[in-house]
Amino acid sequence: MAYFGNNQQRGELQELFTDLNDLNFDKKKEAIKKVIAYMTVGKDVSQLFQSVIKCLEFQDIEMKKLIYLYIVNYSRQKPDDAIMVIQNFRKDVRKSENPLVRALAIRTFGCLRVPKLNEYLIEPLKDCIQDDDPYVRKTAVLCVPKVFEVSPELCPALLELLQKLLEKESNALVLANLIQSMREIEVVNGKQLILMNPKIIQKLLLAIDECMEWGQIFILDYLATYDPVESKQAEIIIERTLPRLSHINPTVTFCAVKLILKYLDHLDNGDLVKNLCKKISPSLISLLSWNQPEIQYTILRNISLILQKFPILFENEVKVFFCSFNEPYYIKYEKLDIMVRICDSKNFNQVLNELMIYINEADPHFVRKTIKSIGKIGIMYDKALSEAVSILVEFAKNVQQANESVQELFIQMQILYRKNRNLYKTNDSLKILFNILEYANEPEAKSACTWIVGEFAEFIPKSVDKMKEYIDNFLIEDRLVQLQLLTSGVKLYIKYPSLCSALIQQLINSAKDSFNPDVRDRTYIYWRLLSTDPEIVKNLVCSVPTNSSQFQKDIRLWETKDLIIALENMGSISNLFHKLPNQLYKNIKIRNNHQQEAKIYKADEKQDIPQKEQEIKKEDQNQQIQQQPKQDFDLLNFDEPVSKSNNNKIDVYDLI
Amino acid sequence: MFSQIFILSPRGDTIINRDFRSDLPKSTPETFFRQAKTYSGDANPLFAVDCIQFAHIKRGGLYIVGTSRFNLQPAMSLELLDRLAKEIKDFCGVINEEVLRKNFILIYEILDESFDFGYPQLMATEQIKPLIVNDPIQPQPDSVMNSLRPKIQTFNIFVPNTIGSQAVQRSVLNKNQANEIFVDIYEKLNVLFNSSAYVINQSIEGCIQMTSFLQGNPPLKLALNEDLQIGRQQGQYSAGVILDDCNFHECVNANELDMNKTLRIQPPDGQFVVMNYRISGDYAAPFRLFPIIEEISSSKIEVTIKLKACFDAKILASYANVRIPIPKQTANAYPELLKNAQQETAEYDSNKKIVEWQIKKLQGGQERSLKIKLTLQATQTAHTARKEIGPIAMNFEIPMFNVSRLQIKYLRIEERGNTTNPHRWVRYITQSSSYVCRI
Repeated sequence: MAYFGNNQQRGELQELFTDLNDLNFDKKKEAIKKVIAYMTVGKDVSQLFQSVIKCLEFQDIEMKKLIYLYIVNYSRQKPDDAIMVIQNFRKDVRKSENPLVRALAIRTFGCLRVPKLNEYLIEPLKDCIQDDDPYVRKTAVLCVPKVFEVSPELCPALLELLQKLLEKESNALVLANLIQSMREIEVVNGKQLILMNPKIIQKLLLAIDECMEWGQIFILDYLATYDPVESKQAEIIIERTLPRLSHINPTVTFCAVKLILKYLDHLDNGDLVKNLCKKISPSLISLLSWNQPEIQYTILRNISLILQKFPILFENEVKVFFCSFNEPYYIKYEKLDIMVRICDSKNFNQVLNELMIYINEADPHFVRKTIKSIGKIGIMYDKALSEAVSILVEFAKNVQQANESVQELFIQMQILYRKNRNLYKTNDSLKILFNILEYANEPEAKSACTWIVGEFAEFIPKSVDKMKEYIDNFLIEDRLVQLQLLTSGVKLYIKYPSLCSALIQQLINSAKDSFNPDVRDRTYIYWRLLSTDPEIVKNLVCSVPTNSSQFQKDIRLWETKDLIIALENMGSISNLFHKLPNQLYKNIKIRNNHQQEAKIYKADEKQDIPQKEQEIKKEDQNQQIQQQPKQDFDLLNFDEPVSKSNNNKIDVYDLI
Repeated sequence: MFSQIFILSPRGDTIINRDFRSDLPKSTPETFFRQAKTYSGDANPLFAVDCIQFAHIKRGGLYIVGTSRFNLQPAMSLELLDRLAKEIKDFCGVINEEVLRKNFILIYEILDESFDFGYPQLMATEQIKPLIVNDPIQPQPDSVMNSLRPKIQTFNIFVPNTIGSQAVQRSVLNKNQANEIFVDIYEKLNVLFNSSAYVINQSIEGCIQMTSFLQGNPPLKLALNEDLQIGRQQGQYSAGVILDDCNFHECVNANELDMNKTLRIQPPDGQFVVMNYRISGDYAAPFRLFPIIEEISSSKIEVTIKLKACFDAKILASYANVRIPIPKQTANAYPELLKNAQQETAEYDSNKKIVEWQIKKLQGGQERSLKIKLTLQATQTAHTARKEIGPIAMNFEIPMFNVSRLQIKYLRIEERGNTTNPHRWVRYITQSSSYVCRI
């Protein structure tokens, strides 16, 4: 069978070979089209290389385009044959009157990527860089990084030529390509190629107005990496960039935003900064309303980043981030996240009212995120606490089955109780929660439930029975639940020593031989303490803090120095994942940044958004001392799994 | 930037494959297709396999894919692919497998002019037109493929469901074309009502879109309302049309917009968006919904919904659909229309627990209503179940009507001594984007 198949293919090739060598021009052309068609679907037609090349003698441009396509594809397989083409290329570049042909030749030449052919390329390329026709120049300029990649040793002369061209070039498209190819070489080379001076900046600014959208993106993106020398210069560049904010291409707008935001740091006029912010925020909001959801998503991911440095931008704009019912969930999740970040002491009511409605949505995962967000807001603002609790309690009343959102409810309620222990009285919350305890099935939620049972044992009628139920299943529980069970069991024993003596014995017996060293160690510590002096244990485990503790959360996404790097890469894939470029790509080196402080742009009014090192006092500090740090982190960590993997981020809590 | 761009058929065959940088294995299209097939629905527009970033869009059933090893801008890569698709469509008229296979050489030409080394170069149809030597080959009208072809997709953001534009399926290279230009003003409405029909949040996303077949691309002058104002000051009330923000296509010179309310346009060939705008202020919502929920007994609820069309009686909405989610614990639901109802249907979908109310044509000023009788399962009482009703969402389209009152006063050809008088077609369309009433 295989033999037969082979034979057939050879038959096809044979036919093409005959046609290619036919004297009839049209027949040749048809044959070449067929060759390209085979090439596209992945059949090997490299054997025809010589016959195809022969057809280059015709000056028909359509034929040329096809043959070049073929050569580019097979040159690396047949470097020796490819040498034969060189003469043709050089002729095209040197002699042709038609700029299209010159550009075509130099473009194809650059794509050959055969090291030993490149030395023949340098001279024609030099000519093309100095060509009179901008179309040829723009093609030639992009050809340099192609050559540089394969044989960098041949390039110093070319690079010099590029630098000269940058000084005198006036065509916007060529300039844009020039900037882009020099940047690419800079990355590989590690040396600075583009030497900025006021004249070049002036030229680039003029070019922005003239070139096409993609060129604008290249230039704006490059300017955004530049540090202006003084306030006046920054002001001029911003001035010229402002019209780009109303460009129809979202990437152009976004690059302009990126540039202006970066340059704000260099301005010394406070009023101007405020005015600029007023101009930027409508553009950013518009990006969210006109585009496809995919693009909206990328913008939203970046907004959560921008917000950390520029809370001022979306002051009073929280409504923009309200979810509408027909949006894809990935957009809704991002919007929720941003709503929490934007929430402040003035608008938390508005946000909570909106979140209250999301809680009735059908998608359990979305509801879960909503509950988490409500919890976060409750933790952040003391005034929002009771409102948050009453929304959650209302939700708890309607719970009828164990699903994802109920798990989150327990976790958030535990955290809210920790912030203010007296909340258990609000709206019968404790009673309502106790009725649905059986729905907890995730380890984290279960551990929250055991904490609640232990902490509020005296207010729960059947707390001892419930604890017994838990302890009976001790061995099959997750480590997280086991650890919490130990603490809660001890609490219960302290509260009802006579009722629980058998219970605590059972607990210690099942835990002391645990395979998990954490569980085992904690068991022994409690055991020893209890046998030495129960009074100490009582002080440690059950002490009720006198005043409701200030227990706040740092919602910063990035550390300051990373924030600056992240803002420089605004709009890129790495930011979409909320990572630094060098974490995502091994081949990217980041600029070393010595700036330790990022200036935060806030609105005038004093707000209590936590943003610097928060003073976080711990409630039940005594109790926490006994818990190992890891456990602590698990209980209090609010962050999504994604950001957990972000190892550049500091731990969410600084313990005092 | 892009390392490769390839176009795959719905079965994963390579139709077009252009490698710009040769830094990725040749089998990348297969890697892409295998990964794309692992998604249950449509694949994510962006994903990564082994450090290769894939960005793709789907047009006419085909995958148009760009690959890269760089930290590229995702929004930009999708936009580039979309633009490429638009170019191909401008040249070939439509995008489908047959047309692309027939015109693959033309497509390679387009690709080579649009990208060099993976960087976007010239991406506007009229810019690359002089550089392209191949003519498009039209598919045989009687071929089997043709009749099986799915409905043609258009690339504008707004796709009207009812009015097909004649401008959609034409190639820009068609020499014997009529000298005409189409102008569309689309508006999408976002409105959120509370249960007493009070508006909580509303906005309009609009755009002016042109499809130009003008010979010689003469400069145009487009005049908008005289009371137009751009940028909203806080607490300002004005009788005019106030746009919160707007943006323009590259070919538009908006310098005179503030003074004379005119735009100067150097129209490219084919379809383009002249201007996008956004309005967040108050406007009269075209439809109002009045839901009434009554608990008849502990297991029975009656929902009555009144729909009022609050626009001029001369205007006809081409359709209006209302979706009412009902409690999960519903045992049965009977939607009842009024006795004299015409061109209306109401159906209960017991799987999704949704009542769909569809109205085919609705004249301005008219009122319709629907009554739904719900019987609940024994596990839930009417009092808790009523909270699960809603939110009610509406979908509609109203041709020859726009809410913002943004208007085209005139569209002129600027050249003096131009004797030809091209046909100018203007239409207004208003659609719902998110039109929701909470209960």
